[in-house]
Amino acid sequence: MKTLQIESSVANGNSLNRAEGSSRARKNLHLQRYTSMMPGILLLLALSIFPSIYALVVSFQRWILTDPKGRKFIGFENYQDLLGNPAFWHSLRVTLTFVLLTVVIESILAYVLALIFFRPMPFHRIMRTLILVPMLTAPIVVGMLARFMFDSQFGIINTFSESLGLGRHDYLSGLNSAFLTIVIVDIWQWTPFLFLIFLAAMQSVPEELIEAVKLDGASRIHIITHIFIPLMKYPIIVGITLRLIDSFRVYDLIYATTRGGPINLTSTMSWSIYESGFKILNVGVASAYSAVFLVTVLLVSGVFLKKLSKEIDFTR
Amino acid sequence: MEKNTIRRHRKGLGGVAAVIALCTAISTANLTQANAATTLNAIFLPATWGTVVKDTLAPEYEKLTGVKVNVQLIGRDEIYQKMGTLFAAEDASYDIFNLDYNWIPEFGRAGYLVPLDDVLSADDKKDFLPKALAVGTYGKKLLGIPQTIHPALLWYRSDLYNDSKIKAQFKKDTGATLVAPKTMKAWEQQAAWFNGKTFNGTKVYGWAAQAAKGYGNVHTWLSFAYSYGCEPLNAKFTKSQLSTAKCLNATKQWAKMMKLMPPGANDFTYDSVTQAAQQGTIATAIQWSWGAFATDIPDASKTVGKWSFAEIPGGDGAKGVSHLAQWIISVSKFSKNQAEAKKFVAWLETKSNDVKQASLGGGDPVRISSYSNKTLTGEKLAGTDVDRFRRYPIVLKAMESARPRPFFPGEEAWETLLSTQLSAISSGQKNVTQGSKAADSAINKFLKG
Amino acid sequence: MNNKKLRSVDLLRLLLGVIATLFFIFPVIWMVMTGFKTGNQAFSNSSSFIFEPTLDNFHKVFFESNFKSALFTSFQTVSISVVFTILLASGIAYPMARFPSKRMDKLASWIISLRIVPPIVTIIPLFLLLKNVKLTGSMWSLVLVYTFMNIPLAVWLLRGFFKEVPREIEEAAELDGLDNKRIFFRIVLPISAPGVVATALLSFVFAWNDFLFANILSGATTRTATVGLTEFVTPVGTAWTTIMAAGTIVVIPVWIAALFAQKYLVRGLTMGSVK
Repeated sequence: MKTLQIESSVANGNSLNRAEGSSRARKNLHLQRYTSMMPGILLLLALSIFPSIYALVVSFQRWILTDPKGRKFIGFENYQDLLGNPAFWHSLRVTLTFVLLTVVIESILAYVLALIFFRPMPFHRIMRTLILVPMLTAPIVVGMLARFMFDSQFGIINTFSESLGLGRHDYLSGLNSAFLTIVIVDIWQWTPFLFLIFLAAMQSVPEELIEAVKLDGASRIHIITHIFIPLMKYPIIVGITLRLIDSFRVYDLIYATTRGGPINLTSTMSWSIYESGFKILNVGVASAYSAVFLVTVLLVSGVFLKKLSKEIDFTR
Repeated sequence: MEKNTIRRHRKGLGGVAAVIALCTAISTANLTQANAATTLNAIFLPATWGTVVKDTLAPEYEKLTGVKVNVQLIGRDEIYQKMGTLFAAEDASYDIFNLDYNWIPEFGRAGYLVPLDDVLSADDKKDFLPKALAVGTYGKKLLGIPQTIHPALLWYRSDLYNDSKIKAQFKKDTGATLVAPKTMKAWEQQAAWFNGKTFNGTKVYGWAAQAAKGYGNVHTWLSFAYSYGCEPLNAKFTKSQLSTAKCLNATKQWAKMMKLMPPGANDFTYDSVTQAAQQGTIATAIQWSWGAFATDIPDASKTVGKWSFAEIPGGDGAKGVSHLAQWIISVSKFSKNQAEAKKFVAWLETKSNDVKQASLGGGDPVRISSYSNKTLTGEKLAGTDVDRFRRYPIVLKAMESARPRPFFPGEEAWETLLSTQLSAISSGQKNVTQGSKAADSAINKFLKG
Repeated sequence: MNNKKLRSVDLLRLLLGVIATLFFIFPVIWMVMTGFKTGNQAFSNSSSFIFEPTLDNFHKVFFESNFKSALFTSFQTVSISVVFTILLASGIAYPMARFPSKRMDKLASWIISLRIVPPIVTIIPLFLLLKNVKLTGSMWSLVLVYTFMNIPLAVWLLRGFFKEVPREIEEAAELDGLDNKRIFFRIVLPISAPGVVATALLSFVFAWNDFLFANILSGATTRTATVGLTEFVTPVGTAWTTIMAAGTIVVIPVWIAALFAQKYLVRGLTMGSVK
């Protein structure tokens, strides 16, 4: 609350400055404030604007890396081929299913976990620390580990499932199991991330509020749904948005385990772009694919970002 | 409290700054040291022929000439990707590359490889296996020196095939004699008979071969294709012919045989086949000739000396044809040390070094003379009377009829497209006709573009 | 009656908590354990949990492979990029925090939106760009890319942390005649040090764990640890026990950092989401 008051006085101060006049000294002082931004912004511009334009240009060309002489302008052909290729729509479906499944399940799991850890219990600090480990582990390491543990011949997961009477399976190569196995590994790695955010948000709900509502006779479930969730709306949206954006990127995991297989059942758009750019070495197609991919990600996350920006304005 | 926080952080920041300064100092020191003598940077496959170069030959070369060779071992797909991107960037980081020969047309057409004709004398050229040189040549220039050849062979268990009881039982059950098969049908019969039976306490499956999506399943399939007289592409490499009768027959046989592999076969890499062969869980296999060495390692293999080799069986009256595999050493056009690189590459494949690589466990020799070299042919497996390189006569025979992959610039992409459909067929998602048709259309589209 | 109910719920929570912890930590423990096993032990069912540990794999990783240099490269590129990230991002975040305006908000939105772009989309144009300035084989290409990758999130976090510095302190310093630079380094930075450390840690984690950029941009002398890890997978065999040992080594720096700076990490990850 105090911050709010101070903020408004700053705003007034600034407007006062602006209104006071445009003498050179003041303008210089004004600009001087922002000189520290230059290096960073220049770097960002250099590595974002120029490559984007370049990539867009390349997407209108036929350019296979091993055929430099055959490089030429072909207009929208790459895009037409892409959108007319059933493999593209399949990849889109795989990606959207993956993102949806992982984000939804991770959110629910993380929320439940936050509820469990909300109040102290014996060893809760150690347990919390251990739970965070998966999200700190490099995704490529997680991928290798997953491949090792789910191996059909000697993986520990098969040993477990066999002893539980569920039999041995080709988890990462079975037609019906490969995709789900990838989803499960992602859930294992990233639920802790949402758990962290949700728990911190839950713990910042004022204790008095909970006590007051309890005194009024509210049930636990009522507290969970009608008190926590509304008060945690901002962190929940931030967390889910971050997770949403990141789950589009899944690549290391697929690189280490299924490589888009079996057949193409785990070929996400990220993976397909990698294949077209670095296995088929057709950077024209890969660039067109990247553009379409970016649009997809922006569209999907745009919905959440709009909600987010509303919250930001509200709490300023 | 705040002051302490500042002090603590000051130490931390100072420490980090010191470490960074140290790191930068060391790395610049390394740079100046490296510039003293010529250093070559090479990429090889982490197969035995790559490790032999890295562990033995490169250090030896440095002692001989003072030229240091840094050898980096990276996987097949990664080598291809690196070459694609580094060449496009005209990057000079690496001077020498180990290539799978099917990449020669692609990188040769782009002009990325240095011609090596002048590196071999006329005598040398006669000493190399003709097919080996042929697949290193594109545009009438020799763009890579062969390092190792290995045709696909039919492996079979001599302990099972020569066992009188097993032979008798087989004759009783099928009416046929148990002997190294010459036809696909005979082989199928034998594999099906072995499949699932237990011998000496070990459950045995019919056969194994690379079958994973990626180059694996295509490479196995090619032996079938060629042995049925199938031409996957027309002579000009402009049309895919997978739906022709001969090709369909080959694919059908391959799909049928896939069912006689151990569980998890759809994932089988080269490594899985080796393991199965070592553990004795398969009766036969289609695998590279050179790979046999792994089954003769006492600590890792239960089937030491028990594997024998035959040519690939023929299909539908045609003669069996091995799919030829080979790795080549090339010099990058962007190398800043082309002369030195050429010298090293030539030295790697002299007569004595070809023999040395083979005896150290590298791939099979590329020079005809090496196959009659006493050091190799006279060597026995430790403590036995079995020839270490008993496969050589078969290798030479197989080389006579062996066929390389379609030798054109788009071959790697062709393999990627084909392997997806083969994977769909072997996992039952599509039948042979559907899968072949899908592959045809994808490949034709690629060939047009 | 209430006490009994409370206790049974608490017991349930403890049980669920333990199960959850086991679920999340078991694979990691499995990886570390496998690093201490021999090939035969790793593949047999009998010596899953009780076995005689060996240091062979770690020995192989450190002394019989190129992994050491890969680790060193990781450490070098990531540390340098983190320093740059904090410097450049602070330069952007401080004016944003101190002099907010509609234009600043728009700028912030643009910068943060860069975070949305999936890395694979940028890799090809970045590669071509770096080739044109002849940086492709050098460590500096990775440093540049990691810095670029981390600045958006760093700006978002640092802006929040800088905003938390009480305005009165800054105004007092202004009245004392200090210019903006001095105010930042002498007043704001020390106070928001925990937040800066959190941001630096997060940047470190993301850059250290990167694989995609390192895989495509790495040259003869600039392989990072994550790339070095995949080199243990060969077409003729996957040395699983060695890979698990190498994987453990790759993850240890991050775990140690997280252990000692857990508080900071939590602050960093929840900053901007929890007020």
